[in-house]
Amino acid sequence: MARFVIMRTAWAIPVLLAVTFLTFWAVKAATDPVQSYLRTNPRASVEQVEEYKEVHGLIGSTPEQYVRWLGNFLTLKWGNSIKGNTPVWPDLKSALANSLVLGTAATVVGITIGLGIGILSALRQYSKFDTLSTGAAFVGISIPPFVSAVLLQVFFAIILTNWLGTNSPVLPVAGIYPPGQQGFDLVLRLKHMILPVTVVAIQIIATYSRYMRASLLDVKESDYMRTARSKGISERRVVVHHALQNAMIPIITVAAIDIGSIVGGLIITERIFEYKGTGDFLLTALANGDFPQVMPLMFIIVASVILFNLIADVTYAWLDPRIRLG
Amino acid sequence: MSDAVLSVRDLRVSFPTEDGEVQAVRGISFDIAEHELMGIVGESGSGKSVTFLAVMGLLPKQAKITGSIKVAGQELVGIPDKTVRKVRGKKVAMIFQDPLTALNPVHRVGKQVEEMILAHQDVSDREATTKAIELLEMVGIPQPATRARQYPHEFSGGMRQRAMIAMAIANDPDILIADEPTTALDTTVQAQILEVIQSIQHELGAAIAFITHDLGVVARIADRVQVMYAGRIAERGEAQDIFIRPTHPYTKGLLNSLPDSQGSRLIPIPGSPPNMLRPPSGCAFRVRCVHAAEVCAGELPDLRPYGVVETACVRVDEIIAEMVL
Amino acid sequence: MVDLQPLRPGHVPGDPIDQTEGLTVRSASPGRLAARRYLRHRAAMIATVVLVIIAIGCFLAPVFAPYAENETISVTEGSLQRAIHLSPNSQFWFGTDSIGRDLYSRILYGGRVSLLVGIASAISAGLIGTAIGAFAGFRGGQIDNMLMRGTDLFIGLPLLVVLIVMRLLPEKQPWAATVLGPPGSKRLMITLISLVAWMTTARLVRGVVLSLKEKEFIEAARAVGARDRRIIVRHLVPNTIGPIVVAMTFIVAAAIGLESTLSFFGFGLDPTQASWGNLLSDAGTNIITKKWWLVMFPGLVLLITILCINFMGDGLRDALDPKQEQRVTG
Repeated sequence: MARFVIMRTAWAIPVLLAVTFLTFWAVKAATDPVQSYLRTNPRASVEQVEEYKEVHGLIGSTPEQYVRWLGNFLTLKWGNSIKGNTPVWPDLKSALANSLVLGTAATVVGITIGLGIGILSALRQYSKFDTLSTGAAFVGISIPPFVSAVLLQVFFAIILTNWLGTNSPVLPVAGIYPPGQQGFDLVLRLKHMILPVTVVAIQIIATYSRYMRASLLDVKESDYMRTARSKGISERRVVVHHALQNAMIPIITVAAIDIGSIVGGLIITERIFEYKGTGDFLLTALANGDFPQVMPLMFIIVASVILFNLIADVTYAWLDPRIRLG
Repeated sequence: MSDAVLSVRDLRVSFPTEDGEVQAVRGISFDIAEHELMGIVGESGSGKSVTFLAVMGLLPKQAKITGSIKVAGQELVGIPDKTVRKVRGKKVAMIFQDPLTALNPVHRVGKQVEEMILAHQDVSDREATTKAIELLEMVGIPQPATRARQYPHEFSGGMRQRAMIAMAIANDPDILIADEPTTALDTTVQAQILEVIQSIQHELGAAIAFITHDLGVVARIADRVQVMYAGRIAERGEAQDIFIRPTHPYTKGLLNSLPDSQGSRLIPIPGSPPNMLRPPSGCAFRVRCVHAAEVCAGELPDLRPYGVVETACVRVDEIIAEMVL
Repeated sequence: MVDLQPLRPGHVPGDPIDQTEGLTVRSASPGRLAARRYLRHRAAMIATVVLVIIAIGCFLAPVFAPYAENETISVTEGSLQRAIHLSPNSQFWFGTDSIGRDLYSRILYGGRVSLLVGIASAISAGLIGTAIGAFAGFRGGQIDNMLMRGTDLFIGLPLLVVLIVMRLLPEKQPWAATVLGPPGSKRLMITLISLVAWMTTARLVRGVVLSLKEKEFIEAARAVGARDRRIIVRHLVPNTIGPIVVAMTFIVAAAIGLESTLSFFGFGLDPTQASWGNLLSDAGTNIITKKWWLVMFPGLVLLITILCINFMGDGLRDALDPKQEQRVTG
């Protein structure tokens, strides 16, 4: 097991470097960092431009640039944004924090409900509930999140509001707080999160209810389930101790991978609900060609994908004795 | 028979499908006595496994079961699963065909045996562990204490089947159902497993229902044999009688398809088993039977005594006469 | 074995379960069996009908649309004036937009573009994926290993981030505009979507090829000296066509979703081009002004279309490959 973990970790590092190098190249091509800087700062002196290039490693060939950039990145010299010339890290940090709050809430809600539905569906295969939830999951998987987001906005901001005859929307459809709000307010914060969380959770519920159903049905057919029943133990024990334990192994693995893409996976929802997270941060930065802001975030996104892929691999091995000991 | 540990009366099992009912078992009755080893022989689809899955209460929910199944005097048909569970695993236990898949891959072997003990005996976890190790030793697993902490994938096929047997005998059942326990194993391992089963029977005195399609195996170990075809019993009797003088053309066909010691050519039975959605009228075997006559298409033939055995062939007199001539 | 085979209500005569039972095997060609299974898939049949109606409406937009794609309409209401922001009525079924264009007509014209991008992306992604998957599966070894690890990782990356970054390339780099397509063009959309969508097909084809490779008829073909490429074309591709068609159907749905999402955010087609994503994008700014129809109708048409295509894919999967249930690792 230890060897397995070491091998996989050792493999993850070159992969991280290779993928982030490609990312560096692509982001550089897509943002054109020096031109973007000059456009925003047309009167920048030669020294300022040189310093800008130095901080963001934009000197030499692309591989050289990458190495310089990576050095600065790892030593936390992240520099300032092009637009507004503010330090990158504080803004990015608050965006990351907001995204993690939204992502975690949606993941917890989504996976809990999704697994519950999937388990019930599989245990009552071909029942009305099963048919209904399978159909609903199909709709949930099919609907692009931006469509569900705008439809929810229309429903809560226009239709329901008109119907109830209130002046303000029933649920807030934009932002993290109402305009002008100062300081922390839990109730307002939660109210603003309801719709974004719903949009993300719809997808998670739909996906995980399908996963769980398929996995549990797969296990249900297996011979060891019959062996377990032949022991005369309670059905509850058969389901929990034998079926679920086996069926959860692939689910946990998939979940680990999905958690890795939270940071980069909320773009749509965040943009539509004007939720100040990484998605909003990234789109704004890309629109400004703001390489100093884009690249650290991209690195974090890629690194978290690779890290959680690694975690998924290791968890899978740890949960399944056939691999752990094999 | 008062000493029957398993008593089945007019058992019928069918599965509803879109195209009608698949009649897997069509009215069979039999007893298995204490300490008896009965061989149940038949092709795939003959209803032999379904019969015993019904005894275990392990058929899918949609299966329709009528008739009576009594294990150690306890009726099992038409009563709540909760009651059946007290019998299942305790009075009657089952060894399955494929030991590779019959054990739970994520639980330690010892734990799986312990679970069986804890389900029916009022013992502490530690006592159950000790007992599980004893059981593994009893079925011939070396270093049982170490082996108990291993997972199924660390066991060979034969070792897994031994573990299955240890699990099945954990509660000293009155009857053990062995569903093709050697089919999935190598020939040399098969012989070992048969030995284990025989010695278990000897030591524990449990009755055994040994389900197989392999007449050769049955000939070696069974006291009595029951041949099944298309959800009915074709023939039943003492093992040596059935082998020396089979009365039912189907049994004969099975015997002819066995390679004998001289290595003479084996003759397979022509055709294939019937579609159980619409089984042929009368004797289901008549469509493949060389002796079939008009009378065979009449009523569903029941078992009736013929000499020392019981047979379901209505033309048995004529057929035997033909053979003598 | 009737003994142990679990019987499921959905099973169809002609399935292997009946054939092993013997005497009454009906011989039907695989194609006819598949067609019969598809016809019995109720959701897929309804979806097919709905989709055909939508597709005919869109592709024959000039026939069915009451107004032209960018026609600004004036109505007489007291005096002659632009038909701006009219809610749905008998003349404008789905209402009109901020500069007085008929939303119903624009949805039909937009659908033409969205369906075209979806189908074209799926075909090119399917072809790329099939070629690469067959190659990797057939050659095996290091090439295969690298490819699968690469796609594993790529599938994990947030799709939209990748697409948006790639979408920006042609705007900054002339070479990218040449290779991928000019910014805002349909070609660029199709190229980008195919570039991210081929991997699922590749993995699928590779899997099928790996399992087929062991089969006897391939061995036989090799034994008589058939060349690899010939074996791929003559034997493997016909055997993988079922799963590929299913995969491509799902890609059409995904591609329509991606195109509209990208267009909605201004990273897709040229904003003057009517497409479902662009219609929603125009509408997005109107939520506050309470013009609900501008969001509702394009959103629902988009949703229904994607849903129908997915249901068709589901039906096709059941029909072409009845044993292959959806797996977790899918």
